[in-house]
Amino acid sequence: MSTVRVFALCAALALVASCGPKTVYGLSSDDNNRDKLTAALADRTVTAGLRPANSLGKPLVFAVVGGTPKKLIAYDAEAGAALWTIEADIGSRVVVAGDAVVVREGQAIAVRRLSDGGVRAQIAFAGELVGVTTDGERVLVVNQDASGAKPVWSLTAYNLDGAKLWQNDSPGALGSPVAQGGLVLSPFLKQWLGVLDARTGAQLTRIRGIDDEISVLRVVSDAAFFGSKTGAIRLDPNAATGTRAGSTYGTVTLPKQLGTADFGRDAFDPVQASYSAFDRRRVLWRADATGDGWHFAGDLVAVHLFRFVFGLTPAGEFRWAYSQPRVELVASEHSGTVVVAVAGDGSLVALDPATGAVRARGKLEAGGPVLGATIDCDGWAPIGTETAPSTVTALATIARDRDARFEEIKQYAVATMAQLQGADVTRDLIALVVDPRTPAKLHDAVAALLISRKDPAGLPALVDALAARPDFIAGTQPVGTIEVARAIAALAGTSITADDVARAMAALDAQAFDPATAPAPRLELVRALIAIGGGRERAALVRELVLYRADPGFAAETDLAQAMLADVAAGSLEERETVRMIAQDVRSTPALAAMAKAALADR
Amino acid sequence: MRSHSAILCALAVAALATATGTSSATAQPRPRPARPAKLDLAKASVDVGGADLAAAVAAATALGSSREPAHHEPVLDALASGVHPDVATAALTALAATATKADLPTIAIYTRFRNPTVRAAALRAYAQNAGDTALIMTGLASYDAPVRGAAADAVAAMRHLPAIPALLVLLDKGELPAARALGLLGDDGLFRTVAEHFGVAPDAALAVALGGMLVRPAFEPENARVELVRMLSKLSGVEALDALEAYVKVAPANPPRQSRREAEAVLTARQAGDR
Repeated sequence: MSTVRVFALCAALALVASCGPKTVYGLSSDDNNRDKLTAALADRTVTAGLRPANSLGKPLVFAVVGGTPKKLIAYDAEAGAALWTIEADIGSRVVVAGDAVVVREGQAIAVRRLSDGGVRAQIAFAGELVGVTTDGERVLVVNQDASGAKPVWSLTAYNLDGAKLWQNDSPGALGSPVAQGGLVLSPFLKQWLGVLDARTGAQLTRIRGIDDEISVLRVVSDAAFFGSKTGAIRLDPNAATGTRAGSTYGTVTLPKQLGTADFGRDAFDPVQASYSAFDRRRVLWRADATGDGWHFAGDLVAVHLFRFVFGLTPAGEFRWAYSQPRVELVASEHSGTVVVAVAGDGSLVALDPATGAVRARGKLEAGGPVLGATIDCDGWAPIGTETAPSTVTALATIARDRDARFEEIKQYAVATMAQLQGADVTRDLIALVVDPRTPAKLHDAVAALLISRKDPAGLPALVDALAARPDFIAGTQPVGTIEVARAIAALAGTSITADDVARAMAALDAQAFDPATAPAPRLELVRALIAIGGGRERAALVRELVLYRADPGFAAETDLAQAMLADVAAGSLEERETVRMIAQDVRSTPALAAMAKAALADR
Repeated sequence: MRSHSAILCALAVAALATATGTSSATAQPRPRPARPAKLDLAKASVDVGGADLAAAVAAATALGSSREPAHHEPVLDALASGVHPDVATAALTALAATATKADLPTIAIYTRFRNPTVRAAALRAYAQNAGDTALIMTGLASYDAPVRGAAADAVAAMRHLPAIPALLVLLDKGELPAARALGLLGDDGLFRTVAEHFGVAPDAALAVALGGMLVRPAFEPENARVELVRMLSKLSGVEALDALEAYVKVAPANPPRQSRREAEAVLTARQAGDR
């Protein structure tokens, strides 16, 4: 935030604070005090190791199902069965800790028992709900009341029976809080993070973001993080610097096609107080809870985009891909040992964050569309035996996906595939090129990659692609011949075996001189023949030149004729004599004769 | 430096060898003429390879039409070393009636010529000598209608029964040459197969196929003829009535045939109607 904006903000706050109620969100706080932060964190109780926040200690998923009324299902991912299902007018994301399941229902906050989903308390709130959380002992609600002359944001704590414990008001925007081990982390105006005593609401210290805004909070079983949608700072004593460099800071470099994925939910966005499309494009990550420097778990992150999950290095290098069949993944979470995701049809999948292999599957019998879910599965370590799909297969599945909405993701899959070597990759790229349902932009991108990758191992696949013949009875026509021919031509100069060259030449010859081949692909096929033939193609070119030398239709294919004549003219003495014959014999069409003369003159 | 004619000759041989997959050493020698023909062979030989297109076409026709195998030599040489499509068409059309097996390698080159008229003529000439049926079958699958037509005629003439499935596909697409071929190949069994395409194949094509079968003297037994007449009576369009008329014309009046009577009845009933 610029100095001018901070100054203006402070001035406004001073004005409001001077005439408002008691507030901990003031101007004169001792920001970025390492000693105070260290002391506050020393009092925090954090579980050692990974475990769910719920008191059952089971990996649970709380899924909201659409319909009238909506349903909330508590699902035990390990047992593969629902704990309970209740009907309620769910209006926010579900938060879980200890024995409390807290969620907005209608115009109140409901505190439900984890054991059976029954209502323990109802908490009314005024104005607009910004966010709600729980630490298992109390419920913390942030709302914005605009009924007065000035809007007021309040952070209010209640016990699990709905009795009010304390309230802090703010003249500036408060974000949705999180709570952990006796602390409440309350973001303020996207500039500060208040660290409060959960019992009293007293501010223990405050962090001011120097380099980034503070709009994203994340609490996991063994650590807490804050930051922006592009990176996070671990809540440790170093966070008191408020800077990236001085803090334990982590970020990822995403490929541009995946760039819409966010590092976390925006605590200030009322839309994200509920399940939304933001939950379908996220960077899923875990980082070390302690130690020097930032380390992503396994040195990998996962990127969830709609139906797809990609495993990437922090530098954005591709490692694996997963494609959920047909239905979008509406919720996802990196639970430390697995990446857990829930699809709109209630399917649950747990992926190995290192390989993308499916470690567990489940199915919530939702009876309707799953709108969103809260995943509380920290430490769940299913040991499913499914092997990781081949990278090429996974990417090809994504690239060929019929859903027209995901072109950017498909482009990424294709670009990633093109960096891989092997016949399978070439075959999959060809399949995309020849598929008439491939969108034009994607088709062009795939074609360009097919040509530019120059992988000799792909030559057999390219040759196979030329095997298709026009067949009126079968109703088939060769497709993608131009792209395939160009890809073969691009292999000139690479290390292709003599046998592969011979097979390629035979395929090119057959397709190029098939009477049904159109002029445009014929030209590319002949160019490919010339490119890889190394002179061995000249016999075929001579044969065709002689056969068609008196055909005005052939002479009209100027580029083709010129290419053939130039290649033959560059050959042996006898081959040049053929060109000379074409140039001089009365039967040759005048146009072709002229081209033959020009070819000879160029030598 | 070699002369053009020497190059042409060498190229012709090379082209033949490449296109047919045979070597000049193993190719069957063309039969030599036993006696000279009335044709001015020298002039025709010059004309067919000359620059005058009309003269070349005339010479190609004359040389190709000759029953003297020796007269085919100049036209085959011209074909092998590249001629205008009109000359090729004329030569191949003429050769359709006279080609010998020795002519087939050169003719085969033109079964893959780009110009569909030339290709169709080559197929007809090729089929004349019961050439490679695979090549004819390829013609059936061509996207060029003239080529498919020529191939359909060829498989009928050769009674190449493995072509029937392909002909049935073409029948469904309304291809009349294929329908005619099925008519020529048809027997009782094929009639029933073709009849199953009722509602799928266009009525006109079905009528041509069924009509072709009905007029064949070999098409038996009578109850099959009756069924066929009844099938034709269900088809719309003038082709069905033409088929029934053609049958009434060729079917003997005696001994009396129920199929003929029913065909006449259908024709009479439709006389006042819209054909």
